Amino acid sequence: MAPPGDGPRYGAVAFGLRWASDVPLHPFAEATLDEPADVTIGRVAALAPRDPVVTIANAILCSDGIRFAMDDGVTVDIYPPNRVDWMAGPDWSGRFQPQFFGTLTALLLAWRGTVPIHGTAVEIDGKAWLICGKSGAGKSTLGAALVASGAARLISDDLSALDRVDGAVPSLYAGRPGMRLFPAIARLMEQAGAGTAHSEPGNDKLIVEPPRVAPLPPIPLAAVILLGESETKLPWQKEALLREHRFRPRWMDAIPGHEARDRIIRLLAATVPMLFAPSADIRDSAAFMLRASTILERIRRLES
Amino acid sequence: MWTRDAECVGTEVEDALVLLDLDGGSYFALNGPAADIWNALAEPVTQAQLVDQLVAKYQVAPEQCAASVARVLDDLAGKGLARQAG
Repeated sequence: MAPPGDGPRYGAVAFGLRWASDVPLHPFAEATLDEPADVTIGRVAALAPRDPVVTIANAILCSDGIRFAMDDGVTVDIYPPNRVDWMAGPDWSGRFQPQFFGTLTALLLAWRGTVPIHGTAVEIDGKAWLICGKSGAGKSTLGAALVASGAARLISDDLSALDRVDGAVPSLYAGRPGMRLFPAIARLMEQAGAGTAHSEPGNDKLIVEPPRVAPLPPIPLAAVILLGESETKLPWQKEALLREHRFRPRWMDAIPGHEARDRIIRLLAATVPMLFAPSADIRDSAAFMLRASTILERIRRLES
Repeated sequence: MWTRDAECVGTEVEDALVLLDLDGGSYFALNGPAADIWNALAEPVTQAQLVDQLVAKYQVAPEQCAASVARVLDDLAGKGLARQAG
């Protein structure tokens, strides 16, 4: 295993950033280390003292970043915008746990000024469609159905990174290549030739890596698809709805720079259409395909 | 010359135009002539040009129109939605 100070040996790309690490970042898209990294992850023998501000769940917000205690005993010190130190615990397994690539990554992204959203996103004809809804509304399943139909490619699943490009265009960055899907949905993806399912320790869902967009360039948003929410045309109500679908909202309220992140959400609410659709519990192939064709028809109608 | 403030966007809601100040998070609804002025501010424009455009559209007396335009611009500037440049 990487001893302290070994230097980055693994490159990855995710959420618009180049990552360099001394531990493989499997859930991100692999990349070379030829280009300068935006974020460098390195093991340290001892953590530097920090200036704690407030404790939220298993992490401490500090004046200059975040200290995060992961479930496997690894402690991670985030120093935004570009450095992550980590110290192994006695049970270090050789790879970071999934929360490193979810919650912890979202905290770093937020500190850097992008807005982590709890939602799945797909690309259709060069534009991004962001799918939001409460847990169980069927975000990933709808994203999977659209990809399986052949009309869409994956941008991000579960954690999506929203930013404004050129100051005015709400856009998304490609996230993790894998989707976490119910086993039945994962099998339907396999049948459609849209990836191979594999399991992840400690998770009932299966991971499928379907066809996806290029890893770095931001993709302008066409619309937000809201599942199981009451329809509204009022931009301030849309803004409130989108705020509810921020990733780890308790954290997002605490991390500095929320004015800038709020601006991005407002810009999205005011300038990007919303498509309201019922949530759906999809179990079989017929329902899966019908779901894709129904939503695709509404997408085409909104586009024309 | 007058321009829109950079941190402000307009959005159509039903038949109304709603302006949003991205910085402050406030929403403002604009009526007909005020919405016309906002739309004209997409490119930098002088106060006199705005008056000319509205006189042509609404067939009103130039003096009366000039006073209304001044009032709307004042209002937009006060809310941080438009500003005088150059």
